[in-house]
Amino acid sequence: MNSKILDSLSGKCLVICADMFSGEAVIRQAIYGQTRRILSTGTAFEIAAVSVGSEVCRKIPRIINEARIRKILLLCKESPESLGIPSGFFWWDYYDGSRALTYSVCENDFPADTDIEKLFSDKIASPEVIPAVSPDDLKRCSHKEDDERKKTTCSLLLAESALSFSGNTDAPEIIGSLWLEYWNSREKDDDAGVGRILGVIDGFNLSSAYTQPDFIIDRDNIRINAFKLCEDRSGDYIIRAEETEGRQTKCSIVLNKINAGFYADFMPREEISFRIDSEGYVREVGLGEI
Amino acid sequence: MYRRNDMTNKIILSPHVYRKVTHYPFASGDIPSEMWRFECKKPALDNYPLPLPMKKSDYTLRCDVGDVTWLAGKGGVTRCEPGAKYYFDRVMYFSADRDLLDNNVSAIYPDGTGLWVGTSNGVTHIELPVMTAEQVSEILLDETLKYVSRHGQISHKYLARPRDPGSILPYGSCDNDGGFTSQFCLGEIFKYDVLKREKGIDAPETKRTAEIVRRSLDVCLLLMYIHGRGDGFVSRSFSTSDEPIPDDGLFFRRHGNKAICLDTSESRERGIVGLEVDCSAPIPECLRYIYEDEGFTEDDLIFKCDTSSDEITLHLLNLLFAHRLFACDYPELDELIIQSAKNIVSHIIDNGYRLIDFTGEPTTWARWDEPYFQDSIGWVDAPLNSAEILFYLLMIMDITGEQGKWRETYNYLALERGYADMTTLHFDRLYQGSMFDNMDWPEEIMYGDHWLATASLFGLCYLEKDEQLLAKYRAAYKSWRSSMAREHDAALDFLYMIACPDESVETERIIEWFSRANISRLAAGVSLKGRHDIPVRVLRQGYEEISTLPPQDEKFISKYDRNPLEHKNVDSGGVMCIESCYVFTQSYWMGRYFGFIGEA
Repeated sequence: MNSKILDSLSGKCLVICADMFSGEAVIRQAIYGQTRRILSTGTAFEIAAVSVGSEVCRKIPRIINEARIRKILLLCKESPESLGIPSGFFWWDYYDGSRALTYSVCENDFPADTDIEKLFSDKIASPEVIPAVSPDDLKRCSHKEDDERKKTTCSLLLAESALSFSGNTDAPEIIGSLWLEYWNSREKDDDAGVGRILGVIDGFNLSSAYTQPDFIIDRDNIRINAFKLCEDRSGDYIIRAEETEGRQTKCSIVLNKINAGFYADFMPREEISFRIDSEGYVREVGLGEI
Repeated sequence: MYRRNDMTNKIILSPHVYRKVTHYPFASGDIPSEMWRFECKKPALDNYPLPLPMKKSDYTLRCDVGDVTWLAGKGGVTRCEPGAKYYFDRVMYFSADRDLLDNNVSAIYPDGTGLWVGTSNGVTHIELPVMTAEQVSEILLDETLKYVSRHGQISHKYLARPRDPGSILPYGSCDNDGGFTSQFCLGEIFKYDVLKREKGIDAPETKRTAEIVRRSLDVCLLLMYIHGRGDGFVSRSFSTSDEPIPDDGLFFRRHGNKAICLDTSESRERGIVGLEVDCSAPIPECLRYIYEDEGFTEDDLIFKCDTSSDEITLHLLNLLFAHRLFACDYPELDELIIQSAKNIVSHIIDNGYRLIDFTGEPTTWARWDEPYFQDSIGWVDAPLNSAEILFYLLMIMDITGEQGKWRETYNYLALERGYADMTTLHFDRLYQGSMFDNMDWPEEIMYGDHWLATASLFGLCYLEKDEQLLAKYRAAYKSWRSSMAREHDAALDFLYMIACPDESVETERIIEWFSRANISRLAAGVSLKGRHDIPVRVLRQGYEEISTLPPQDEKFISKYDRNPLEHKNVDSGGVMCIESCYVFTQSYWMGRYFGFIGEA
């Protein structure tokens, strides 16, 4: 009560609502939820219960993997087949090699007293062949929705970069703490101001090019999706870059402004996050480092 | 991007600079005195457009020679050529222990295309001679034959003094001598065929290569008979009585018609020290020269058991091409090749798809039977081992021209027992196994398996004519690609493109592989840790990898069974070890044989 933080002390699943427009929102649920779980109980969630509506973010396996989770209970509002996926167990793959063992079910049909851990552990120990689902199998958003997404998020990415570089040290904290309000604003769909800041990394769903002019990147098929200060106020930077043409690629990325220059190997369509410290040394990190 | 089926895109390797370094003590008269008076510029790197291996502020020395800029400081030496023809040549990094005695550079002095470098512990002369990849392969081959070969087995050797090949220790058994020697031999077989076509069978180079092939092939065959069982078993390795026996497995010494189990931790643990076994089956006369020419008798021979599927798979791939490309010119050898392969495959079939050791039990890692596939380790191995045994059966049908029990067994396993389908499940099971062990899947990879999978699945795709089965084997091969592609290894890429012609790889990475090789396999390390231009990532169990592969001349030297992305400076024995050449020579001659690469 004193810390004004509500922690989960029990439960078997990290519950994530993915019935939304923003990949960033899913990321924050996954990462913050897992982080709070570890801080409060010393153990990590092994399973994510992900609820989805009429479409699915194809990057969910990637995001869930980054939260150190590889098992998904996929609760569908409609039948799983309507999303292009089978009912029951399957490997849910993303282009970059991310993968989650997924059990999909219509949420109304899922018995509340199911022992979820046993459901998964039995399957992992079982020699049965599990089918795989590729991202191309999933029902996709309409072009119109994609276009709207691009338009909004490109400008928001720029907004965050501007905040980061303005020397406004409160910016990362603002971004982090306003998440809840952002979530509410999305529900109400009427608070563009808050959403404008917090939507900055909707780039996880972007398919349009966004290039920070200060970057020197020597391959056309590598796109910068985000460039921002870390929210832990360490002064480190995060760069997220993605291969866009489905080719294994080595490239160099230089940003002299922060004394960084490094090489990176991308698998086809892989998105990689890099964390750069004050001396320009680089670590490859997960999407969870925000 | 390069596609195998488009032969107009054959990769032409131009002569390229390779690193040659010579180290001197400060007192050496060979050091030019001018280097201590040479005035360097101050580096100005604020807006430098390329990643640099060291932190910019660590560079304190600079000199420009034409389009090349040399930079140096307390982290080594960097050569920059922004306009270089190839991407990978724009920045080169020279560091300790391989290129420099230490990284604390206090003086540099340009010398033509090279550089003299003064560090805390002495002076190094870096030269950059221009050579062809073929010349490099010859240099490496000579080094291996001179220093690494042990009774014709090709793995690695240790030194008594750092960096001094003259101090090579004459002994040094390796667990996979048979497999590594097979891979070395395979490269020389490809070379033999290329030279025969290009220069003729009587050309001196072709004849010399034939001698090298013959000896290494005979050594591989000796391992199939040295144990005197006459039943198709294969020994891992052999030594002679003048060598110390390492404490890393099961060894038997021949004594007349018996062989006696030697005292090691493993044999003590199994309670078989002193176990006497029959070894009365004769070693073929044509192979005896290998030890007799060195003054040894059969009673001096010590052989290693508990053989794994690695040896069997690599031997049979080697024998397949030995039969096709080499033994056609040596009919008596071909008979021995065919008989030896038949012995091995018969042994496996007759023993329930297992290799049976001297104890009467299966060896630890050579099992292709369904009960093994259902235990916790075999379950993950099942896709690979299924491919292996199916390859053995296709291979034996190919070289014998026989069908009979080989075909019956192949059809039974592939179709009735589901082995063909099983081959496709590699990544699923690897990933599921990593979940079970709470690892990230790259932590679960056995890198030696990449070559076993390549040998088996390439072999299956190469030999299988049935379209439905071929499609399964191609799918199986592709299920390995996400881990194999991490290696950017030319030989792995070549065989993959032959088997899966719809796939492609990066041409420039192949050129890099051959152009940025080391001209010695002295396993001296490099300064990979602390590089400013290479990100590091930490996996689930704390295993550290680099996220991009530097060129070969800037990473540790090892055999094929290591993770090339491991975040470490050195492998093997560092400056106290010389590795064999086969990693380069096999790739090079394989590329030439299949027409992927040519020389300008």
